[in-house]
Amino acid sequence: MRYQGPIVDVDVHHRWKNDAEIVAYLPKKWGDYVRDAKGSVPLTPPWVTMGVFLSGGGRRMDSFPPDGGKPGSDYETMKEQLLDHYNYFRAVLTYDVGEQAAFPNQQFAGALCSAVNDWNIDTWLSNGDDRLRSLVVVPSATPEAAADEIRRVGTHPSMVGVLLPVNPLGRPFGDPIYHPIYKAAAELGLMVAIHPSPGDNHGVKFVGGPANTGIEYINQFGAQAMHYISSYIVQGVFEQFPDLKITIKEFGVSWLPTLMWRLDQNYDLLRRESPWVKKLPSEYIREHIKLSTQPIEVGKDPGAWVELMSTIEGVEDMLCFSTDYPHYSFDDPAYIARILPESWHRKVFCENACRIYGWQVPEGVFRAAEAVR
Amino acid sequence: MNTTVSSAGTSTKTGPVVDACVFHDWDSVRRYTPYMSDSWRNLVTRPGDPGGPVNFASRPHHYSPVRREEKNAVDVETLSAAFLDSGLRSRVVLGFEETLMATGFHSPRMAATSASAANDWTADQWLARDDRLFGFLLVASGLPDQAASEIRRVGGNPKIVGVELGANALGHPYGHPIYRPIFEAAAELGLPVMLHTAVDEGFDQGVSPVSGGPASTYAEHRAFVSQPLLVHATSMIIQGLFVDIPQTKVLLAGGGAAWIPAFLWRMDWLYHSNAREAPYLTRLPSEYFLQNFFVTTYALEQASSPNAVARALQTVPGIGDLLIYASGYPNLDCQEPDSIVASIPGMWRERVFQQNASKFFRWPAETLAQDRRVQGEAVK
Repeated sequence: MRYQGPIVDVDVHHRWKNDAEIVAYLPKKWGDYVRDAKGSVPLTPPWVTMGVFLSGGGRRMDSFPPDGGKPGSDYETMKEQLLDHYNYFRAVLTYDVGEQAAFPNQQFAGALCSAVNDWNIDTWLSNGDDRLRSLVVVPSATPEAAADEIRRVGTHPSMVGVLLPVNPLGRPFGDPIYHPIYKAAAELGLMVAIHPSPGDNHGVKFVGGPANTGIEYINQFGAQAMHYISSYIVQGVFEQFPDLKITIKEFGVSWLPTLMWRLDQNYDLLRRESPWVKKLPSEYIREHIKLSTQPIEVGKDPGAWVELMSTIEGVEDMLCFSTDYPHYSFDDPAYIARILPESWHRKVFCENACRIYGWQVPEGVFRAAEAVR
Repeated sequence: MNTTVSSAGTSTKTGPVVDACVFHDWDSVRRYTPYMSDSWRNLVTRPGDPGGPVNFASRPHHYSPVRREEKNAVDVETLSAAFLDSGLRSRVVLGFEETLMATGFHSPRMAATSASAANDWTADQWLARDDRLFGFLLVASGLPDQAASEIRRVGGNPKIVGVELGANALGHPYGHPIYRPIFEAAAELGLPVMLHTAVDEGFDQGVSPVSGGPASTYAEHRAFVSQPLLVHATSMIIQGLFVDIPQTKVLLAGGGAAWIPAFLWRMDWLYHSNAREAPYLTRLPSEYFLQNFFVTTYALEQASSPNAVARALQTVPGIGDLLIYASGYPNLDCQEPDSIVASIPGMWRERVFQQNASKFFRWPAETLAQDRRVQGEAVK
């Protein structure tokens, strides 16, 4: 079934054209620190997972802009391929992928995150395109400094949330060590987004030890997300910050039914160990968690995926559409529209995201799309 | 979760069932130290040391009960009285759980010795003493060649019906080629392999049973029991284990089953876009899974809405042919047949409670012949 209504895309990766743009925003001592390395140190921490073997570095081959830059670095290309190509109401820009917090030198990581946020506000968020919004990238290894950064730039009207792309402390994200970040986000009414990144290699232990190929590495993303969600519940994050919303981006979605069943199944144990938990885990998940659709894990039979997800009542209220542009795993809106039941379209493509970001649903655009049909 | 012991076959309507995992464990390491050499026994029991025997188990420390009845599976007599004599089960396969942790010792020789002692203790004190009992043999995987030798040493016992992989001692998932000698020896003896979800639980093994860092509560730990299974299964498939040794059969135990559809779709999707990483594969990852893997019902997910789990399981054709009933007794969350009947489609019952187990394990010829007779009668 086609969908022609307004689209909110919660996961679009944008970036700088060259590192010098960001270095210009660094204070002198850190700018010198980078310049002294004479370009041998990129502003993205090293990583060793197998994504490097993907064609185009894991980017859509047609997304390389004509100026020779990297995919996602050129607004005009993104406008043509994405924002104007489909009926975009909003695109949430999420960097590529913001893992600057994973630099082991935490003072530098903090300065770098500030530089990236300032660059973002001055460039993409000031280019006159009202469809663009973005997230504050934070030095998550130093949660108090991250909270300060949220308070510093999170009041900008186009900054609509906080991005946690790396887990440098190796603790699940609900751990009290990270709570200053949620406190600051809640104070400013910002949602928090979690996104996997190769920077996870810094600090996080994986089940079974290190993965041997990219297939194995990416396949276990769902396992991380499940633990992050549960830790928010068990550590009482939603009791402390009752208005906080979390978006789980690009970790997949089809593990959700088994997660909700398993957590509820252990409710007696959970109450015994975490008496401050007041509601069933599935209730917290419904109230506080949204999942981005990309990558949608459909097999040969898309109907089977819908059937699996439908075992969770109201699951259509928990999904937010995303493309992952310009990555190779891009999901076209038409592809997702064909998989989703038509009755989910409005919510997944637009309304759910509007609700967490506090935007008015663009009824006029919906009416215009109806008229065309 | 509440479990009830039902009388023989009342609600499953399939007759006595085969139970693929009951965990027999020791209440003291002294149960099996007689099966060790003097030098190793002295190391473990520390004679004259007021600290007493070494605590073998080093699982994550959570202050919550793990066992339903602490001492119900420490010898044949108590297990019979508490569990077997109800007549609900025709056969039970004994697996290792606490004992499994002993194979995660940092000293690989100590780990291998522990596994050998556990195997001899099992054969002598359990399998030889009750016709209903069959067993896995346990291997310490830190020395894969020695583990293969252990399989050849004790795998000829007709009451041994499978190999249980020990702790993930090398910190690499089980598809890693370093572990291949274990699977070669198992295939040589016609033994299937069991992977318990606890293989990554050792507190100081350098791996984590949960992705994203240690779980802070036991409730969370319990919620993620499927994670090690899907990681090791992915590794076995993508690293070409089933290309190298196509007859390998693997039972994934202790992690439920509702995760399978999501897991298979995701793995196939990734394979489609990254097939160059594993050019030796000739089929889709999901095809290897459906061909080579079996999965225990223990600990099957329980949903609040009736049939939700059964619906989820049916979204992938073929799951009914790989689910094998296992109780997980005596764990706190063990599941009697009655408690999972609602979560599996009715037409799968014979397969889940009897036929799939009959296909999976290396049963003695007379046991298999008996199974075929029973199945033949059921068809009539």
